[in-house]
Amino acid sequence: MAFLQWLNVISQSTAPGGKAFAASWVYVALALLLPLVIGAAFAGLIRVIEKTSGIKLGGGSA
Amino acid sequence: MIDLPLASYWLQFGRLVEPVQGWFYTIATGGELSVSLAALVVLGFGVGLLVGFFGVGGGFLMTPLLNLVVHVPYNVAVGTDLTQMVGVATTANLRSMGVGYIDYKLGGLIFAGSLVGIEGGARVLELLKHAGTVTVAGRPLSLMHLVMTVIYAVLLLWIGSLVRREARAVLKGETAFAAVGAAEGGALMGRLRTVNLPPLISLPASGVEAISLWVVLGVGAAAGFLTGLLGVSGGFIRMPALIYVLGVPTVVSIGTNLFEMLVSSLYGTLTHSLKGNVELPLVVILLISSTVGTQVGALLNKRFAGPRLQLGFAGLIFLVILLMFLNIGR
Repeated sequence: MAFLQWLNVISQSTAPGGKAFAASWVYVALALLLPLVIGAAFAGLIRVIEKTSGIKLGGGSA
Repeated sequence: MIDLPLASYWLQFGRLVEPVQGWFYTIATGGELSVSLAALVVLGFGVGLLVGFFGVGGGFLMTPLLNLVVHVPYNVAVGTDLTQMVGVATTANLRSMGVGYIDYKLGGLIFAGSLVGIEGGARVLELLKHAGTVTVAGRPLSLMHLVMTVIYAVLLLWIGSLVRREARAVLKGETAFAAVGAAEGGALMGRLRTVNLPPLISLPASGVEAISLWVVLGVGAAAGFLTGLLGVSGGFIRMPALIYVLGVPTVVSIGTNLFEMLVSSLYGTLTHSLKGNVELPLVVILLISSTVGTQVGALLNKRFAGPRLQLGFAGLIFLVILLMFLNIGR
């Protein structure tokens, strides 16, 4: 939960009205890297599950 | 050490219908909007399930449902959905390595067009975001909410009609392709194929001898505009265009489309994050829950798929449109 709250703090997606939004580099970098890392981890996990169980899973395209 | 974000949450999952303080994830630092984690997980899993089961893209459902179910503003829903699409595209690209073939020259040119389209779409959304409200029947309505609801309704209506037509064709014993492919955009694609505005380029890896550069850039720009504005991958434009307009072999189209999905969503994420439209905790929750849902859906598809369920899916899409309009004046 603390990790999600930290992500929430750096997201600041609802900047108060009238104030210009200024993205921090941590926020932009995490927006690009976080899904890449999670996506790659899922690809690896799916491959492991397929090898151990013999089940053919989906391609992961949503 | 970082605490696992959902560990304590799962222990309370049985209390879904009775949310209490601490269950809710607050989307805004100022506390303007609270979103139920349970609803997010169920939504992500549900959309993933439909994607895996019916083999459709998830963006056209995820973004309006984020707004409809958990009241996430459209700009945040679009930016967040595009960002989670980076993860989905990463998984798909890694999974298809060695299976599909990517034409990098074609991919690079389409991406060049996409850059213009994505930026244009994101800027239109930015304009809508700051456009304020309009008064409809004496009630103030967010212009962004109104416009995006109408656009999504049109898109969903089109996709729902295609799904319904395909299912009915299969029930009648026709091929789904004959029912859908012949009707949708056949004349337009035929006309685009004959455009020979210079410069003409060749795409040796795809076996294309000569095609106008502007057609390739235009395909990228059109798909990119929808990506930037609506948070969808644009694959429903790109794939038919690659196959029927550019004449790219299907196997190369699939690989190149997946590559495009990754680079386009990366650029979409960049521009939307710079505009403050990406909510990172939502990305994490939706990406994990939808990926699990997609895999479960793909497994279920092998056992239960059929045109009657597809008709039900079309009905679900039409129901979403109805709910969007009922919800418009909230």
